[in-house]
Amino acid sequence: MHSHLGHLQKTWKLLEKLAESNCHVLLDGDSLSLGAVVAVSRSSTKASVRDPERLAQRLEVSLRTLTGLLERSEQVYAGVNTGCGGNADTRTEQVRILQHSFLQHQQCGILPDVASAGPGAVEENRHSLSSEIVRGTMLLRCNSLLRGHSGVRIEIIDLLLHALNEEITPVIPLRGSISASGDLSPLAYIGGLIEGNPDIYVHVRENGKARVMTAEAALQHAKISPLSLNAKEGLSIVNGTAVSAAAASLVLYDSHNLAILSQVLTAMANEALVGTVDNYHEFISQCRPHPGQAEVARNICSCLRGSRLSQETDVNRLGLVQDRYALRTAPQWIGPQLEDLLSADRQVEIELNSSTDNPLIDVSRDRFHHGGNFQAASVTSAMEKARGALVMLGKILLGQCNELTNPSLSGGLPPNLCADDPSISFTIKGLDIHMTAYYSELAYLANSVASHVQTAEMGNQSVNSLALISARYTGQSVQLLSMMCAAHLYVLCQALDLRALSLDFFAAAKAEVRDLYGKIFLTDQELDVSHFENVWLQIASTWMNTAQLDLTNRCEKVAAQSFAYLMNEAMERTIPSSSLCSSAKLWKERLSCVLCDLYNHTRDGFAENHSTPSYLGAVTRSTYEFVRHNLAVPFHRGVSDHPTIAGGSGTSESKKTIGSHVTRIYVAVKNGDIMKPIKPILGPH
Amino acid sequence: MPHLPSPNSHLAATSRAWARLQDLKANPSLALDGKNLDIAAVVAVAYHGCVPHLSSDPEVIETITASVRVLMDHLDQGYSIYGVNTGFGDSADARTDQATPLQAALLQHTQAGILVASDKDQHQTPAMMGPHSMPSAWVRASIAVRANANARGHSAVTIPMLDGLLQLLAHRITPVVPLRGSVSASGDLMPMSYIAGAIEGSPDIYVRVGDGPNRRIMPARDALLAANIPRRTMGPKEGLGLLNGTAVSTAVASLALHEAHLLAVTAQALTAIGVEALTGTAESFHPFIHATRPHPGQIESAANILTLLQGSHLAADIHPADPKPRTRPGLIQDRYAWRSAPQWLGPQLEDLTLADKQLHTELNSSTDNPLISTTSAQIYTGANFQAASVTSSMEKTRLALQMIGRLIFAQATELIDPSYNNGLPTNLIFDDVSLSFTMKGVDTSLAAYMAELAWTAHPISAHVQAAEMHNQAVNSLALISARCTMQAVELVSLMSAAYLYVACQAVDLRALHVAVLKQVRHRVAEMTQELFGTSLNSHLLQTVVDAVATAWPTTTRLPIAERCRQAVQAAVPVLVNAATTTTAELRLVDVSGWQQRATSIVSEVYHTTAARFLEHPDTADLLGAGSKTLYTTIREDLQVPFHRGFIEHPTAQSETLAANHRPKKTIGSWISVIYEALRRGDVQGAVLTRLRELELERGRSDY
Repeated sequence: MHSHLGHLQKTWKLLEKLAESNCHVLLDGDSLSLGAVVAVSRSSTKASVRDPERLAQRLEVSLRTLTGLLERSEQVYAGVNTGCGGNADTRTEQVRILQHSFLQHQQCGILPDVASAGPGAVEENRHSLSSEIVRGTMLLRCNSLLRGHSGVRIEIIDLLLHALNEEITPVIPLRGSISASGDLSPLAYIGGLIEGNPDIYVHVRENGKARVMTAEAALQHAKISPLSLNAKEGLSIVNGTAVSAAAASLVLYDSHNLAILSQVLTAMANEALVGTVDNYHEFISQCRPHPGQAEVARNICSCLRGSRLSQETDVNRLGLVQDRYALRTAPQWIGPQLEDLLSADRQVEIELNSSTDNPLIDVSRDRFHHGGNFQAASVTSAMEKARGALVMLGKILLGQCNELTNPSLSGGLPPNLCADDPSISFTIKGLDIHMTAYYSELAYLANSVASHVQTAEMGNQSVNSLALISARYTGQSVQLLSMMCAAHLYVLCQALDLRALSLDFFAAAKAEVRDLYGKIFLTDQELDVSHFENVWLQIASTWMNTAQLDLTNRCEKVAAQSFAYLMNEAMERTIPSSSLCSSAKLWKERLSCVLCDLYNHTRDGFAENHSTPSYLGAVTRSTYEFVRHNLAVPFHRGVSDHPTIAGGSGTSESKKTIGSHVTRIYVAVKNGDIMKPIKPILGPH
Repeated sequence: MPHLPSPNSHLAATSRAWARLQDLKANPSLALDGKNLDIAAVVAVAYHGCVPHLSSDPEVIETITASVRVLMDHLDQGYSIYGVNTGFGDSADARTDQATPLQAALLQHTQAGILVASDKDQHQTPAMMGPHSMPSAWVRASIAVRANANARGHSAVTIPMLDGLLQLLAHRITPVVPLRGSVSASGDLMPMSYIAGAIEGSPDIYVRVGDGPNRRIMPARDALLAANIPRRTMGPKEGLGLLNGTAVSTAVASLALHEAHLLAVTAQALTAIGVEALTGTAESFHPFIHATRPHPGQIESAANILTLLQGSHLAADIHPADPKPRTRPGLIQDRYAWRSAPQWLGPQLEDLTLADKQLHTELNSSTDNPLISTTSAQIYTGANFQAASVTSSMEKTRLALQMIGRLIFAQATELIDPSYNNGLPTNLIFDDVSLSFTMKGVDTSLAAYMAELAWTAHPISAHVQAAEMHNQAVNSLALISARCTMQAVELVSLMSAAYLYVACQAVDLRALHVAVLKQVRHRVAEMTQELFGTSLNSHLLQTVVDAVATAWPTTTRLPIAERCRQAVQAAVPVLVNAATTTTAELRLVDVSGWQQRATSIVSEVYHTTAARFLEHPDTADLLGAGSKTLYTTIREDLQVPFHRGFIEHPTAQSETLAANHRPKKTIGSWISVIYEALRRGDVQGAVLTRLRELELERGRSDY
């Protein structure tokens, strides 16, 4: 089996190739991939028919079979010379009009802006499908019709591809499909474009500006002749799973990326919490050989390669001997999600290259088959799994973020990750609450769509897949998890900076405190410097446990504790002399000042020049640098960074609300830019 | 010809597991070596008295012993080892050198489940509180799964301790384990601690000794004493090695998935019998359709249903190679509940197959922490107890069951509703529609089952809470998910049983319907010919007969006498119309004479045919291979009879049924008989065996 990352890397490669100009997606009915759908839907990648002569020939043969069967007129075919669905008990000979009649009764969606204000008012609005889904739909429908089981003319496909390449996309109502007899209603709006319907609206692009006009006008404008439909063509257009499958493809691609990103974020969380790489040792995955688990462990290890923060466990480690579950169980938690996403991917890729209408024309047997390939339960199955996987990813990120925020869990990081004083500054407290809000909504969305099937259409559709609804809600889950990833990444970069700052400070402080210790106690025989390591260990440990205090108080507290420690040590051996007592008092006063000055000094220096990258692993470093440099999201220095507070050395760039910074990251997550620093570095599988 | 199922198909895998289970039932012994445990074996231990023992393979034994050695060496070196000389979970910042009491302390704090008096004492009757403990089958399965994981030699659980664990099963001693309290993250700590408590011989851990009516509940200490089993003290890490793992989740999940697989196969047979009851078409399952949208589950499901339909005289277009039927009255294609069954069930088969892979890996995994490598003599701290793989498999399984149930619900209700059942009586009544309501209650029950099933479909995994002082911010909830999936198994089994009762009634009524129509056509034609002689040519004669036959199925909401009248009346205009196109003069009195005679013929035909049918039903002869198996299993093996109407009611007077010496039961009791057979796997076993035979037959005929 392919690894999840290996699979996604192939898609990335294809997308890069297609991004080069003049690269077309070629359709032949059998080889459409997720990457190609993403490219056409989201970029202006053009699509055309591969080997047009051969495929035109294939459609021709299929049409001949259809015409032959109809001319012999000895049989009835659902939707060709009968009514449709629960009304397939009627018979007609008006086979052409019938096809437009199918479009008529399905063009019944609600588009308030068009109805009240006319086409001028329509923007991307929440009552219509996004144009990326519509573009994907047009592409998928063409690919499916090209398979030669549906009996349509090549002209239909040519028209749709022409419109797609000219960026003419119908305005399609968001709701109304149960994805059982396919996505009838949304596809009827595609049909409306083909027939040049003057009451169907389309988006067009004119001089780079989006406009809405009627299908009739748009075709005229683009010098495309509308088509009137022949027998079965209306049905072939509307009866299929193209809308669900297009939406599912985009959602699934995003989910794949978020699954990778979650692993990178986990690696960063491991560093910020100074966790251990031992969690991801291959022996553990060999003991429990789930393929997903093994892959996540491997991926996180490659993210952490070279890290000075996440290292192997010291067998004499103090404190918790192992990391908490949000770090340690990441492979076991995320692994099964990768397995589900891969399974969903297989289901969707088959759907992309399937004939999903009804009835189907069997050229070799010269007959029709009445079946139910429009029943999009495979897409539902893929989307329900994907949505479940996104919730699990969200939960582990939430767990990590909560640990980073909470000083009793974060291993010495300041509360709320504030860089200044915790009494005055609450840096990521709001974000921590946001994360919980995002996750709660995400968890709510985990509820199954599939368990809400209603009998539809006069009892004919007692089961219907609800694939488009499931895909739309999975799209919402993608949005929420993207928000969580953005917020978490902001938190992580802040935490990593503070961790680096604290390690810089420790390194500098140890040297300076050692000097001070030497100066004060070297003359005294009662306490000798050979104890300094213990003295320092005690200071460091108190420092880590006092993160909730403001700096001055913290330094005083640490000094007081050190004083108590020294006196205690001394008393264990002998009764301390008065000179020792006064030395210790001096030590207490000086230590507090030294620590305070040094911390301020280190922090000021740090603001100028971050040492953070030097601590990080390969992938985590490039992700961190992408946020700090490419996205220009700065280290949060505390309350002085608030836009309405004057002073500080803040440039106007750093003076933003936290939400604005997180938004910048969010946009990079949504448009995929965040994967840029990650892609080239994650090792080949 | 339909495709032969590939060895990777869901059916082939289910079939293999079924055969393996039969082997284990015949030969109830099982060697555990950490590498080869399968779901069928877990089922055999849980339900069929199969007793597992530790493999005698020297390599297995040596690895286990070596893992204990590595642990002891580490302890001698004074290294910190989680859970051996540290505290547990978020309290792992504590250090101790009391390695043995530490393990007892682990048991002490995890034995915190709630049990009520009736769980601990068989003489206590549960008044307002039902059992709060797990079924014994789950506990037995958990023990086998845990022993297999420990036999992998990564846990440093000693051979004597493993013996102590397995001896419980050998002596039919089953610990009483609280049902609730595990988050399945640091494994199923709580339930496993009760099993470990039994090995320790704790006087406040209770066990069930023996099975069935002789079962006794007593303290573990007494049970071990009586069975002459030594009480064991947990050595370093042994408590953790027993408790810290996914055994309970994996065991319950295995039992649920086993039944889910069988129900998925059954759902395909249920579709086939329903298509026949409706005289639907096999065209929906034609391989061409499924080759044009090549989802493997869809292709398989269509091929299976087509195979099950082979030999049917009721379904149309059985042989894919045959030319298409020329015409078909009414709806040109079956409704979605039938036509899209492969597209609906297919993805569920794919999900169940993936769930199976995940569980099978889990059954042969080391799921505790820390783990000991005997090759590198290292101890690794990880998190293999995080049972998210089991959760993942159970959430998929439950959702798949929901989809299967939804299809069964749609199909069953279409069979019962006269607007959809293509001419069968309303509520599938045999006697008088004004007095009897046969399937009406079942129809309603099915809606109740479906509603509850739909509710279970919602994921558990979205309800994770941070646990244990935030050490367990994520926890898999696998056991809860498996328990809910078991609920879904129960509901789909209820629905399948109800459906089977409905479907057998429906095919019986269809057989009767076919026989009546055949006779009606024949006898009415004969009489009409006699009455009108040659003045009606054979074509016109046919239109008159067709009119009666076509009207008959539209009258099913009426009592029989009224049905006969209306069906004949519907043909009167056709007769008059036919007569006007001929030269013959048609007198009104002839028409009314024809009408009277035809009505009494239809009535007589109906009653004699029905009487003959009750004596010698020919339903089985009309059915395809799969439906015939289902039908004979229900009617003959399980002795669930055709429902004759009101007289079936236990308190109703009936000489016929009394003379037959057959019991009368409530409808619910009959369905219960089917339900129990389904839960035992009897019905599914019969279908699997028949499918296997057909496959072999076809395998031969293909060459």
